[in-house]
Amino acid sequence: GERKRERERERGREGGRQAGSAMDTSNPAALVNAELLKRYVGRRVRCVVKVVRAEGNSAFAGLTSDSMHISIKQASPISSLSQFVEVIGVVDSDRSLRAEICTNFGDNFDMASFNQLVQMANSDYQPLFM
Amino acid sequence: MPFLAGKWVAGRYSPRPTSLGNVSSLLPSNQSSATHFHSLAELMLERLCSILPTSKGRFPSIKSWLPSCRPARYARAISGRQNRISFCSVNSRKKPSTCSRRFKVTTPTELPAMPSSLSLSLPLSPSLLMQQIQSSHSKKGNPKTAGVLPLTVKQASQAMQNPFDDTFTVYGADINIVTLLGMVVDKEENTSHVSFALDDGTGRVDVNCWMNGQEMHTCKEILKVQNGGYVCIYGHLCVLQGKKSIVALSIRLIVDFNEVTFHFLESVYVHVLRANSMGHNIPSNQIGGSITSYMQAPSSFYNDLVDYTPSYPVNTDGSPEACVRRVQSIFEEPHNLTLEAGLHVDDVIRRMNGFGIQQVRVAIELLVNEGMIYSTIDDDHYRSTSG
Repeated sequence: GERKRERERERGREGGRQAGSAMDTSNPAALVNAELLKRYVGRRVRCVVKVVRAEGNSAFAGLTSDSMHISIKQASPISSLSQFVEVIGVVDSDRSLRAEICTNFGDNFDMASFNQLVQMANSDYQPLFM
Repeated sequence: MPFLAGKWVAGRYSPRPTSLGNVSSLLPSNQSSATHFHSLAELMLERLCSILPTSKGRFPSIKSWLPSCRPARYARAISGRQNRISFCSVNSRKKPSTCSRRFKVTTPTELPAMPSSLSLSLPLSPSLLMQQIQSSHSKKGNPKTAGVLPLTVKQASQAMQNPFDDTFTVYGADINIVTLLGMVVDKEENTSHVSFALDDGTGRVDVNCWMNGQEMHTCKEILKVQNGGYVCIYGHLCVLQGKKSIVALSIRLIVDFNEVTFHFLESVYVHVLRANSMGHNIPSNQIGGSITSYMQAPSSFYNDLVDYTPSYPVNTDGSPEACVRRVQSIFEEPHNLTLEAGLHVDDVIRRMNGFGIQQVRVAIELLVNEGMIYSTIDDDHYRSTSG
């Protein structure tokens, strides 16, 4: 369990350093919402959440595009984040995500459209993305 | 419906061809672009909803969220009437004020001919990009083969290289300029060029941007880009040192992140459109296309956009009767006659090159109604009655 996740993360990080390689599609980060987290436990995903409140120093609770609360761990401090944040990281459980990169997506982000995109990217059009 | 200087064809704005003007003065200011991509993403979803034949049950939340979306009327709208009129009637159902607000940005009269994607936001180094598009116009002789194709890195990695020259093929047609959107990683700067890897979540690709041909604002833009920032790249796919990479003609920092959603939706849209217009049963993983599909493809991708034909009626390669006859002959092959459970529908579809999934299903239904085939273990298995 834990060791496997560590290994996955190392592999993920190593994959991230291969800048000189050919088109590298070996380590995709799936677009997810809360519902899809359980499908990608232990794997790298991308998720846009609305910051709700801080949970301690380095974690916060976020509202996903399908209106569910999840917990983002090892994130940047909440004061540096805008209202919407894209979190790229590894899924810990079906309600929590361990962040590697947090990108500020501003304060005007259309979650509804993003949710539809996530659904498409994980169903009919998955081969275009993964 | 605001009719601006160009004309609306197939729901896309194509400006009147003029000489290459100074496009940099026509760029949207940051204020107007704030709502720009939000509404573009919504529009893209509407379009997708309307052209996906199976979308009626699939994305119920789109229907509830777009109160004016009625699938039946969309079907009528795309049933082959004049494209301009049909898209007008679709769009006119929305409140006129939001419509005009959406499309009021950017498009004064002197936009050079750019048969491009829906995105009305121009890259910030327009002249080099425009030169490329213009030169490709004259090269191919057909203005509609040029264009800007939005792709994910995964799609681009599946593009097949044409055996005879340096160009790439996607969806059975030559691609010219592609657009990709993602995060910059590993940026390296030289005096002569900038290179980085672009990671859009579906993969990574190397991007090179040579500085000598660029204009001042592009150079500034490129220098502003930092690792971890999101950019939109317009460029060519090419092979450098044995690896597929991108030569960037224009790079633009993303400020409104709805553009990220919009870009991916646009890639899906373009994929669906292409798959439908080729009349093919293109599974989503067969993006590069084979040589035969390249041959069968009608003249070009953008031609099909202009002559927008929906997926389920007659396709370009054969009539419905031919489809039915071929399906029947497949079921009546001696080997298939011996199979007790008969053939699975997907097997039949796979063998019907040149026909879409919907057409084959319609053909099967017809044959069932006529008593030529019957379903066996479930609704997906059929067997010929003449066995």
